[in-house]
This record gives sequence, structure tokens and C-alpha cells, in this order.
Amino acid sequence: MNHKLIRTLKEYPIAVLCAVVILVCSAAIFLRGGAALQLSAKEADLNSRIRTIDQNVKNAKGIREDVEEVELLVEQIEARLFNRDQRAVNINFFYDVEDRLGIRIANISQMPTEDALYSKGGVKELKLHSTISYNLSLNGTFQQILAFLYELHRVDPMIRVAGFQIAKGGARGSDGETLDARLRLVVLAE
Amino acid sequence: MSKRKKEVQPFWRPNFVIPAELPDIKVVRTGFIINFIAITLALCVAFFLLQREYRAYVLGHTIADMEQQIRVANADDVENLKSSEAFRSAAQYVVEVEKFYSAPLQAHTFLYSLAQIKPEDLIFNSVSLSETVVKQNGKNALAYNINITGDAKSLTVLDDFKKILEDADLLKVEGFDLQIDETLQGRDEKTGIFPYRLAISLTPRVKAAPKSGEEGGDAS
Amino acid sequence: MLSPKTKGLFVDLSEFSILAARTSGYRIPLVIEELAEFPLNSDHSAEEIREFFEQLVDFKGSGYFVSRAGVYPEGRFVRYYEAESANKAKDMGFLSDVLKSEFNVDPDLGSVAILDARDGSDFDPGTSLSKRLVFCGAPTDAFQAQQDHLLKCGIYPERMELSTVTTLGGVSDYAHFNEINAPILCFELTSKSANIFIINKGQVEVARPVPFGLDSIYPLLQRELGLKDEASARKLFFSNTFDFAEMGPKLLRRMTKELQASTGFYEVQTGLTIEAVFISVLPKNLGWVSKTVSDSLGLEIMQPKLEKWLESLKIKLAEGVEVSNLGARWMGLFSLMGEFHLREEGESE
Repeated sequence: MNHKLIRTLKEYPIAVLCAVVILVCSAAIFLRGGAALQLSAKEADLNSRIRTIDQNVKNAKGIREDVEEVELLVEQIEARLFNRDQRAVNINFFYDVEDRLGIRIANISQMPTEDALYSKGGVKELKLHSTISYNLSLNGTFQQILAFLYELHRVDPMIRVAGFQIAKGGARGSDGETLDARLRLVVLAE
Repeated sequence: MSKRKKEVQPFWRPNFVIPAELPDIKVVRTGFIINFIAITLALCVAFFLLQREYRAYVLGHTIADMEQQIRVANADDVENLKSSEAFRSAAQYVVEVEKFYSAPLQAHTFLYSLAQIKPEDLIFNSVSLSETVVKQNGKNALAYNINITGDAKSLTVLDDFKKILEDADLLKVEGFDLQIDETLQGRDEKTGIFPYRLAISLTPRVKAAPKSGEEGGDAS
Repeated sequence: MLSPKTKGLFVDLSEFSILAARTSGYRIPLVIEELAEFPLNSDHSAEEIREFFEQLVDFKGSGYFVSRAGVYPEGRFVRYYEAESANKAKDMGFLSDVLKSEFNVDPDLGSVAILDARDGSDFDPGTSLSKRLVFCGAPTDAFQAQQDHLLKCGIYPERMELSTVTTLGGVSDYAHFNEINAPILCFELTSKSANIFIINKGQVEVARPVPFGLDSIYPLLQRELGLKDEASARKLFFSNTFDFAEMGPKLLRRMTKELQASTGFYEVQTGLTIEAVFISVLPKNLGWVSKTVSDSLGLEIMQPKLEKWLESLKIKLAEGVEVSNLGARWMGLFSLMGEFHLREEGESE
């Protein structure tokens, strides 16, 4: 049986040679398959990296100027923040407004805790700033109160009127009816 | 006895060939086919291998080029990323300020506009504005309540005013639903006017399906 | 890869010569393209014979050429047997005994074919109604030897037939075609044996072997001419130099006696007169043998007119192929090509 096999093989030298070639090539393909895959993957990685870099270049057009601008803006913002520790200075600020506008602040008190809204877990949680809440009672005419509200909006410190109650007061002033206003303020602080 | 038979034997011509002892001559032709197939397969496999190797080779070069490209561009890229990061962190402050301020109504403008649209025959005794947290879709959201108490000369005046409020730009806030409720007390015998209370509520509109945009809403 | 249709090669391999024909194919209608002869006077090697074939057909680089051959194996026989009844003839065991007892043929060692004596068709015990049969064949070893020899010469025998019976078929068909109604004596003479047949209206009616052949003549010749030994007698016999016409009848007396016995008996039994004798396979230079036989029996030597007969079998001759001067010995070769069963003849059996 063996001899017949050898004889058959001798009859087809070309086929035997080709079989050997096929085996060798198949082995080569099999062994190198992994390497080819690796290269392919690497190329894909590098390609995406290049794409990212190109995208970054596009996006970073004029970024230097933008960064300067923003940092300047931030400086300005931070300059206007209230400092938690300077309680007296903060309160005095409001009294300065009172002086300027000629309206009477009946009462002003700082809330011991931060506004829940802006604290951790609140709807508008702030991460980089804190807030200081004040309850303010005013007396004045409608115009005066309105002016006060406008002033709060105009000044450097960032103040928001979170809520108010304005009702007709008892006394009657010379400029018209005086109103009692209770304001709840939130000030942006460091 | 051994008989030799083929399908239809021609007359007078039986076939006495002994097939068992005949050599296999198909070898001659099949030889060609076998060689042909063997060569074809060998060529295909060899070609496939060469192609793979060539591609790997080209790929290797391409990768080297790319790496070079990246190396060159990397320094700048790092700079860009740093700047980008700087910008982002600075921008956070600005974003927070915006967040701080964001509200459908601002006290001063609201009061001013309200005063402007208040009709003559309507008296405001008190106006209040407050914000409350409501639960929507399992999440917390801010709603705004405005209460106005006062006196009205007549019910029509009140109704007109309600209509004015509903149509006013003042209370038309994107993403918020407006609702105005009134409670009336009976006509005051002495003065002939109606004390009223208006409760205006602005509730955030419920979105049909929660979108990832909810998060991004803060960045706007 | 599809090459033009492969040619056909027909070979008649006797001890005297190899007759070969290249044709357009094997299926009729076919065209005979070339005829060739390779006389086997002395010892020829297989390579030489193969070269002869390579000149006739294109082997296309392969080891063999697929051919159809007629051979004359040693110990061959063609015998006629009439059973008592058709039913008896259906019993294979009975026929096997007949072979053994009457014809001295061992069915286990021989390749045997049974034909219907009336038309030469294969005898089918299941369906045949005939009780007149022809047994033909040879020892399997003899056929094997012939087959091996063919293979050595590069011939791959797709069909290997017993030339004796194939030639009979040819003569019978020739008689049909030419409407020869008289019985024909067929005589096959070779070195070791001879065969005598009588064909009447296409049926084999007599088949008798003669246990000696040309070899029996050499001692006579040696004595007659005072030669050294039988070998030189044999050499002389086959050379073309000696005129055997005078000595012919003496040398062939035994043979002619046998012939006369067979023909005489037949003519008495049937009342028919045999008019012609057909002598197959004998080479040209032994033409004096034919003459001697014809003279001593008073029979005409049948020289078949091959061209017309071949045409009727749908075998055409190519340009330049001449058959008119070919003798009766070529009958064996052409009979290999004939598909006699396709002839539309409704001759009664």
C-alpha cells in the first residue's frame, strides 16, 4: 500500500510540489494572520488619533484669545463676589444702597444656611460658588421699591431676588402710599 | 464459465477483453486536471499570501508615517488641549453665574411690567412672587407662583385683567405652562367692590420623554 | 482542453502481420483515413510495433491509444452445436457440460461466448428460442497474453475480439449484402491450427477445428528439399523466393483431405453445392496455399469487393485509401468496424 502511494506521488511531481507550496503558504498565512490583524488595528487607532488631532486643531482656532477673554471675564466675576467671612462688609453694602436711594431698610438678616436650591442636591446646584441668603424688609413707595429692585440688579455683586411680598403698608407718606416689601435675596459668593 | 457481456453486443463480435487487468488510462487525462488544479490552488494561495504580506508591508510604512505625523503634531496638540481645558474650567464659572440667574421672571422687570398692565379699575393690595420645588417625572423642578390680592370694581374688570395676563408677553415663558386661578369673595356691601385673589402659577412643561438634553439645559 | 475528437484505431493482430486502420472515430458513420500493415516476419520488439502505431495515430504523449483489436489467441475455438430442443438449450448447466464433454473446453479456465448460430447475436437463455448455437472463445490465459502484448505495444484494447468469429460475421454479412445464397466455405489456416466453417445464408452450419496447421508442413518440406532442419524449412517457407506452386498440393494434402471431408459431408447432407471458399488471415506470400486449396476443391476463391460492402455499413473511405487491391485477409480488420446488427435485413433464420 505504501509503495503504491509513493508511486502515485512520483507520478505527479508537479502536484506534490504544489501541495507542499500550498501547505507552506497556508502555514505562513495562519502564523502571520495575527500580525496582520494587529497592524490593521494599530492603523485604525492611529487614524482615529490623527483625526482627533485634526479636529482639535480646527476647534482650537483662536483659542488663545478666547481663553484670555474668558479668564478676564472670570476675573471680573470673581471680583464681584461676596466674601462669606466679611459679614459686616456685606451688610453695609445694603445700607449703602439704602443711603443712595433714600429708601428705608426696616430689617436685614443673613440666613444661617445656604439656599437649598443652590446647595448640594438642589435643582440648581452650584459647584464653584456658594450663596448667601438675606431676608430684607423695606418700606417705601412703589417707585422706591422698584428702584431698589433695579439697583440690586445693577450693582456689581450678583444679587437675585428669589421672592418678594409687597403689600400695602399702614402709614401714608408724602409721595403716596407706602408699601411694605419683604425681599428674599440670594447673593453669589465665593 | 466466464462470459463477457456489454450492453448490446454487436452480432458475431463478442468482446473478450479482461477489464480487471487493464491499466487505468484515465490517469493520463486526470493527470492534467490534477496538475492544473494543484497549480491553480498553489498560485491562489501563494498570491493570497503575497498580497497579505505586501499589504502588511505597506501598512507598516503607513503606520510609521502616521506615527511621525502624530509626533510632529503632538506638541501643539497638547498645547491645544491645555488651552481647551483652561477654557473649559474658566467657562464653568460663567456657566454657574448664568445658572444662578436663570429664572423665567426677574423681580424688577416683572413688577414694572405688571404695573404697566394693571387696569385702572383694579386695585392691588399685595403682590408676591415665590419659587417652589415640584416633582415631575421623579425629578425636581422649579415652579413659580405669583399671588395678587386686591379689589376689583367689577367682575368684568377682573376677567379682562385675567385675559390680559394670559396674553401678556410677561407671562409667556418658554417651557412653562401658565395657569391663572381666581378666588372671589362676595361683593363688599359697603364699598360695592369685589375682593379677589389671583394665583398665577408657572410650571415647567413636562417633556414627553426624558431626553439627555435635560442635563445640557444648564449649559445653555 | 477539449481536443478535436480522438481518432479510432482498429487492429488485427495475427501471427503473420499486424493490420491497422485509423478512422475518424468508433461510431458509425465513420471514415477510414489510413490503412497500414506491419508484417511480422521475424522477432519484433514491442517498441518497434509501438513506433509503427505512433506513425499511424497521434498518441498525444500518453502511454496508450484506445483501440479495438481482433486477436488470434492460442487454443481458440469456434464450435457449432445443435441442441435437441430450444428448452434444453436454456439450461446453462447443460451447456456447460456440452462444452466439457463435446468440445473439450473447461468452462472455468476459458472465456466463452455463446452466440445464436442464426444471426450471431448474443445468446440469452432467458429469451432466445434458438437451439442452434455457436460456442466461441479461448483459454482466459491466452486472451490475457494477447491483451498484455497489446498493452506492451501501446494499444489499450477497448474491445478485444476473437478475430476468427468476427471474420465469420463479416463474411456472413457480406453474403447477405451481396445476396449470395450458396453456402460458403471459410478456412482459417495458421501455424498451429486451422478452422473450417461453412456459412449458408448468413448462418453458421458447420464449425470444425483441425488440430494441426502450417507447422505440420515443415517436416515434409525439409524432407522434400533435403534441408538441414525444420527451422530452415520454415525460413524458406515464408520467404518469397521459392515457388511452391508445384509442391503445393503435396505439402497440403492432409489439409485438403480434411477440407474435402467436411465439404463432402455437408453437400451430401444438405444437397447444396458449395461454390466459393473464403480464406482469411493468410499472408500474401502464401498465396499459393489459397490456389492449391481452390484447385483441389474446385472452388472459387472469394475476393470480396470491399468498398461497396463497407459503404453499406456506413463506413466511408477517405481520399487516397484504396481497398480494391486488398485481399481477403483484410476482412478480419474491416469486420471489427461493422455493426452488423444495425443492417436492416429481415432475412429469415
